[in-house]
Amino acid sequence: MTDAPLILGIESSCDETAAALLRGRTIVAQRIASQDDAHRIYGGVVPEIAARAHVEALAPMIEAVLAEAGVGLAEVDAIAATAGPGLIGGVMVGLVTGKALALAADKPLVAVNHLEGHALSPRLVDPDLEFPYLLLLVSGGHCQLLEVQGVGRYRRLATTIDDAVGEAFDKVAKIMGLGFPGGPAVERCAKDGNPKAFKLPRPLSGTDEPHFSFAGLKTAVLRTFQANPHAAADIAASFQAAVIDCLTDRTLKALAAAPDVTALVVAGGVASNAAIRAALTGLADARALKFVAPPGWLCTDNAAMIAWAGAERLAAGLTDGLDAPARPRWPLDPEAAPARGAGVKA
Amino acid sequence: MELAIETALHACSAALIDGGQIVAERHEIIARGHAERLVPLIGELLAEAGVSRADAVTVDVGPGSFTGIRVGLAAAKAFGLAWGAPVAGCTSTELVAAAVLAARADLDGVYVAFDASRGEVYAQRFDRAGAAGDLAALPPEQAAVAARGWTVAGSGTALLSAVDASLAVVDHRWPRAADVRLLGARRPAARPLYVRPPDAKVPA
Repeated sequence: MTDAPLILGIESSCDETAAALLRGRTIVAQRIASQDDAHRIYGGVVPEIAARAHVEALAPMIEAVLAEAGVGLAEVDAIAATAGPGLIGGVMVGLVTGKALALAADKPLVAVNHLEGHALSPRLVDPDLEFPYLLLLVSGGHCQLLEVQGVGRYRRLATTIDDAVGEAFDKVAKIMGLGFPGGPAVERCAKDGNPKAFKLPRPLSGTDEPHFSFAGLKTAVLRTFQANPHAAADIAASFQAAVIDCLTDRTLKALAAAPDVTALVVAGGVASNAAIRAALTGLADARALKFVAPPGWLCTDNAAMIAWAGAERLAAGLTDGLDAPARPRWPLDPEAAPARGAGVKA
Repeated sequence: MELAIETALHACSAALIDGGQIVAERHEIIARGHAERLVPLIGELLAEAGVSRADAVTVDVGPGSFTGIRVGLAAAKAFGLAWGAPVAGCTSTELVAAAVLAARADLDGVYVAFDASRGEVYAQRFDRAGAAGDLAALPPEQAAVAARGWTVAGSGTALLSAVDASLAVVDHRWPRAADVRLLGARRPAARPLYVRPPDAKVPA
């Protein structure tokens, strides 16, 4: 792998500042700075606080990553920076940094779609994972099922018509005062609960519509918690069970619509939830599909996946100009029909 | 060779400066799209000057739009990293003050005000020795009082004139990167000058 290009990856689209150096499938060096502490008291990510932290942290972090790897920019073969979708203030910081480095060191720039970073990340850890595969992308900003046909080639089979699944976890954590970020907090709380204690809705499950919906489930959690304020563990467990039922029901529907896929892949921050992973593993096993879930650190936002997507795009001859736009919205499948009510999360 | 960058307000402005002289310059009033235009524009400057690097970088750290401040800073820090060059900061107000005082030998000082939206201006007084007061975000009514007896410059001039039509004004709306050449040699390290805290409320 010493001949593989050395890629510098930059990620700043939400509340993680990250930089990584990747050669082939080897992570030569990487750093991630989470801003959780800065946002915790607000119960969610505040875009302006996030952007201020990114511009403070990013350049020294890139310097540290280069130093740790013992290389200079001259030895880097390409610079891959997230160009969206995400919180635009943060995206601009990372993208402009990447562009300036590319110009100064005379290297090609790859303006990476953050979602493509997640979508291709399983191939970073599994060299045997071939296209096409079915991707369940579950994060704080997204909940989608995509047929990944190749680098830059995606067919969206489902998306959420209201909340993203990670957003539902965050809101449920907020309702029950479990803390931020909500995903791990709800998962921890659910461990001691009975998933059958409360009957919560599974929105859209069993319907012909392929999409996801979590707004009704969140509202049901609110009412249930108001009526049973001392049953947080049972409510968390029942909520998680409802989410899992929604995800598996919709995944089965998508598999029926994508008969050529040979693997089921789950990625995005919510993919680090152990109960969700277990349910999807079972689903894939039952259908003799390969199952790939990147390790937890690769599921949450990081720069190694951006560098990897950059490497895949570079290998495909896909580089970008220094005028590449920073994009708050950037669907992987722009051709997909708009989903009812999906708004910005389509 | 020094690279100067100014993207805090409506201009997307950069210059290469050597020995107090402008080697190459771009100054485009674009209002939006700095993240797309700035780096290609600097590429044009380097090509025009026939150089591949600068030895120092100075960036306007504000006040201005939070996003614009960060675009300039992110680029400046990245160039500094790539070239091993020090990155210094200057302010939007001092750039305009330096330009006005250089052009107008008859003035002893200038009151610089930029439209800060939300019914306020970012304002600061300068005399020939430098800043003659603190930078603040304040309502135009208050700024107009503070500006009495001074000549006013900057994009907030109209807001102050609307309050007090008798104020003397100079038409110099936006800071310009090339005016970094007019500043003193001693400059602080680049740190963002947002003036205002982020918009965020702790939930009740």
